Order: sequence, then C-alpha cells, then structure tokens
Amino acid sequence: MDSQETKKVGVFSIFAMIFRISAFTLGGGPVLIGLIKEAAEQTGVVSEERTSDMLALSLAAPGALGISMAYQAGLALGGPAGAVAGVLGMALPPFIAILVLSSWLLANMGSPYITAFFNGATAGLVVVLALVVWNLAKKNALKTVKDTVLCLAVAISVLVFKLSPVWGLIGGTVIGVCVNLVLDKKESKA
Amino acid sequence: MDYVILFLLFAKVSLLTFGGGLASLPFLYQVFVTDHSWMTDAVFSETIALAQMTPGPIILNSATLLGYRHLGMAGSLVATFAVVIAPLLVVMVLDWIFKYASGRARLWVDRIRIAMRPVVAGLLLVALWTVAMPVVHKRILWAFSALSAVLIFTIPFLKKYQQVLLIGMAVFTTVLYAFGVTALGV
Repeated sequence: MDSQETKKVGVFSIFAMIFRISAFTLGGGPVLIGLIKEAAEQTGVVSEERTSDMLALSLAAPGALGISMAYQAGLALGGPAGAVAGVLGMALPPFIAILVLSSWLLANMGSPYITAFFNGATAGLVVVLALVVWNLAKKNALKTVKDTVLCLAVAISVLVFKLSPVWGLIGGTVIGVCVNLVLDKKESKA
Repeated sequence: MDYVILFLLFAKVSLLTFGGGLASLPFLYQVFVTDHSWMTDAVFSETIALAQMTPGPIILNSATLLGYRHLGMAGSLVATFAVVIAPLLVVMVLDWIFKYASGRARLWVDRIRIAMRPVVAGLLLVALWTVAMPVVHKRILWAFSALSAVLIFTIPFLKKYQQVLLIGMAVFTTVLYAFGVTALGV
C-alpha cells in the first residue's frame, strides 16, 4: 500500500474529477459512488481492491454516500489536501445549482422540455450505471457461486422484501463472514 | 440561535441516515413541517422535488435547499456544512480502523472487508434497478438506452467522460421533443 501512495494525483485534478461527477450526475448517492470508483481507478493510482473497500465503507457509514466516497477517493489519490478537494468538489455543485438553476427550475417544473431533458439523461444513466455494476460484480460477486448467491439474496431482500439497505449490508456481511469461516475450516480439515 | 438549531438538526439527520438520502426525507418533513411549521407542506414537497432533479447527493441537495429557503444563503451554508462534516468524522474513524488495525483485529477487519464485497455489489444492483424502472416503463426510452450503450462501447472518449454522454443524451431528447417527438415530454 505504501508504494501506491508515493504516486499522487494533483489536488486540482482531483477537484475537477469529483466536481464533474457531482455536477452532471443525476440519481443521487449510489450512482455517484459508482462513478467515483471508476474514475479513481482510471487514474491508475489506486487498485480495484482499494476502491471496492471505499465503496463498502461509504455504504457502511451514515450520511451522504457521495461525500464519504469523495473524501476517501481524494485522500487515496492526493493525501489530506486531496480529501479536502474531493469533498469541496462534491459539495459545491448543489450550491451552484441553487444560485443558477433553482428559481428557474421551480418556475418551469411541469414543462415537457424539462421532462424530455431528464428522460434522455436517465436513459443514458441506466447504461452508465449498468456498466459500473457489471464491472464491480465481475470482480466481487461472480467469481464464486457463494458470492453470487449472497449478492442476489441481498438485492432481492431489499427490492422485494423491502429490507432497509443498511440491514441488508449488516445482515449480508454477517452471513458472508460466517459462511467464509465455515468454508475455511472445512478446507483446513481436508 | 436559529443557525445552531439548523446545524444540529442536519448533523443529526445526516448521522441517522444510512444507505442514501431518500431515507432522511420523512424525518426532515417531521421537523420542518410538522414540528416547527418552518414551511408549508407544498413548499417542502416542491423543495424536495427540486433536490431530486438537481445533480449531486439528494441529502446534500435537500440540506442546501431547505437551509436556503428557511434562513437564506447563510442557512444554506450552515445546513450543507452540517451534512458534510458529521458523517466525515465517522468515515475518518472507520477508514483509520480499516488501515491500521493489526493482529487479531486485522484478521477480523479483513474477514469483514472480504464478506462485504458481494453485498455491496448487491446493493448497487438495487440502485441500478431503481434508476432503470422509469426507463423500463417508457418504451421510447429503450431506444435511447440502446444508443447510449452503442456509443459508450464504440467511443473511448465517452467511456472515460461518461457525464458528456449523459448531458449529450439529455440535450438530444430535448431537441427531439422541440422538433415534435412529443412522447419524450411525458
């Protein structure tokens, strides 16, 4: 891990990267953290394993997912200054949106032009997010049958049985740890 | 004094919200409309709709907008700051534990990290489903999703700067609506 941290990304590029994602991504936290993960990997400074941990930590911590993820990505890419740049990059766009857009959007909320705009953005977003989920699942959920089952079980519990995501995360992790412990014991006996 | 109350309120909401901003909305409604009558039901609903339409995390957008409507620009700053700072402290501690745990604790941290990965993938699958539902119900949008997929796989620039693709698609559908494809405006 230390060798990775010798390579750094400039504070301004971190800010620009997170700002761009925050400013142009609709759909809230879950989409944001996926995109930040991919962008952080593309810099080549942090490993896929590391960004997966960031994702898990963002989901485990309370509050805005995007902020937690921007902080961690910024920290990993550029140290404490990078963390500040990441958080600012995430928090500034809503402010600017208020100054520039909110009164105009409020006045035109029912306009079909705005609906058409968001329809197009959402159609694209599905593909972008599907790609993020696919890349993540390929490395973290599709390598063993046990992981695939756990991944789908969590998704179904939240979607179909309306389990709160945080309980899905806690419950799924506890089950995962137990199953892994049992399997490890069996392996060491064999 | 109002600012202190606003700060504490949003710090609390932020710390009690897990797994994304939508979960915090009923609580905010309780405080802003039911308990304090700071705004009417209609203004609150309008503000939240706006928070979902503007880019960025929903809880952050809600804080910025509700703070702004309640106490102006300063209120907006205070609410945003509270939403940002409270969970950051939690992440800092968790991050530190993840990195510097050693011995037996390290063993358990690694076990949890490994077990969490497929679970996180499952939760993102849920997010994908939520985003995809409106598109699934509007057939005309299927074509635009397909077009996005083709573009993202054939043009490396769009794969790297996916926001350009999103804005491009949004502008494209708006222009098509303007030229008479009325189904896109529904």
